[in-house]
Amino acid sequence: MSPESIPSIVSGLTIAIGVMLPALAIGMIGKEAVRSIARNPEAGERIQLTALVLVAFAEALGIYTLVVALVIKFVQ
Amino acid sequence: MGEIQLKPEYVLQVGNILISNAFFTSVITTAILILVAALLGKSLKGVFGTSTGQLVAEFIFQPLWNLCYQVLGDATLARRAFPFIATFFVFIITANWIEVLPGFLGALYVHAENGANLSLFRSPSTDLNTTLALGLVSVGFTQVIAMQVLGPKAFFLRIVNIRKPIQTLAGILEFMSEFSKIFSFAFRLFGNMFAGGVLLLVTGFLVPYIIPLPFMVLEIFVGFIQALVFALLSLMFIKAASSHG
Repeated sequence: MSPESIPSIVSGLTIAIGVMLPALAIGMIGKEAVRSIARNPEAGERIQLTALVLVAFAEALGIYTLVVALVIKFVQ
Repeated sequence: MGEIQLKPEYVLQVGNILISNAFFTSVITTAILILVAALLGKSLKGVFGTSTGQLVAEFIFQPLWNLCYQVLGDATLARRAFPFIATFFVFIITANWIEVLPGFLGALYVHAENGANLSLFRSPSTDLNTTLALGLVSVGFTQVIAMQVLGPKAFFLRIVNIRKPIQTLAGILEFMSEFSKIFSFAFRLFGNMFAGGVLLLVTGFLVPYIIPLPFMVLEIFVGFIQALVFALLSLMFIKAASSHG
């Protein structure tokens, strides 16, 4: 593990580990959203909107990790 | 492949001011939007007109207005917030889709001082400066509307309330979270678009034929979703900030 290759390795590890929990969060939001639409199809539009907003919050956390990984790799 | 840069790349100089390629493209985006708005505006003929331009304009703006009215609930508040929300959506979606436009990004190159060739065009959303500005405008506008609706006394009472100390603690935390919202807006849009641009660059570099196509479709979809999420989140924060109690 030479000093020149450490940024690449660390960048890869950062993004790989960092998106595990946001992916889980998005999956859980999706599961509850689909279940509640199935229980109450009338409120489908409302639930879809809420789910989209919550997924955006969860996805943003994964994006923060991605930005950190990019900074580690591309900024000397 | 040396074109992946987080820093803005300065390509033009007007007097003493350096202009980055993302800012130049955002000026082009604004020019496109003004052109389209002028063309559509000329063919508006009242509430029941059916010219093509009017139908296109209604197709774009009617769902946005319905969204504003449905989330905010109040017609005057919706009418006040709608121009900002619609502009956020239309500007961000144009800026995102310009990235996927074939032949646009690598078209013109400018030779920089240190020998590198910098592309003249770069989607504005891939530059942290533009997204930070958009985040600032969104959160600033939320505060202005909240102060207009609640009145200055109730607005400041929400942050610091001497009579109820526990609410003061929660109010200060909420005040801090307003700043984190700015960065959240900025990094969400920047991260999505920059990563998409890097993805397109890398797949175009590895296998230039056929393979980038599904990734471009993904980019189009992600661009639309990010514009929608920005507008929707601004709307929800406006509703949260201007609701009483």
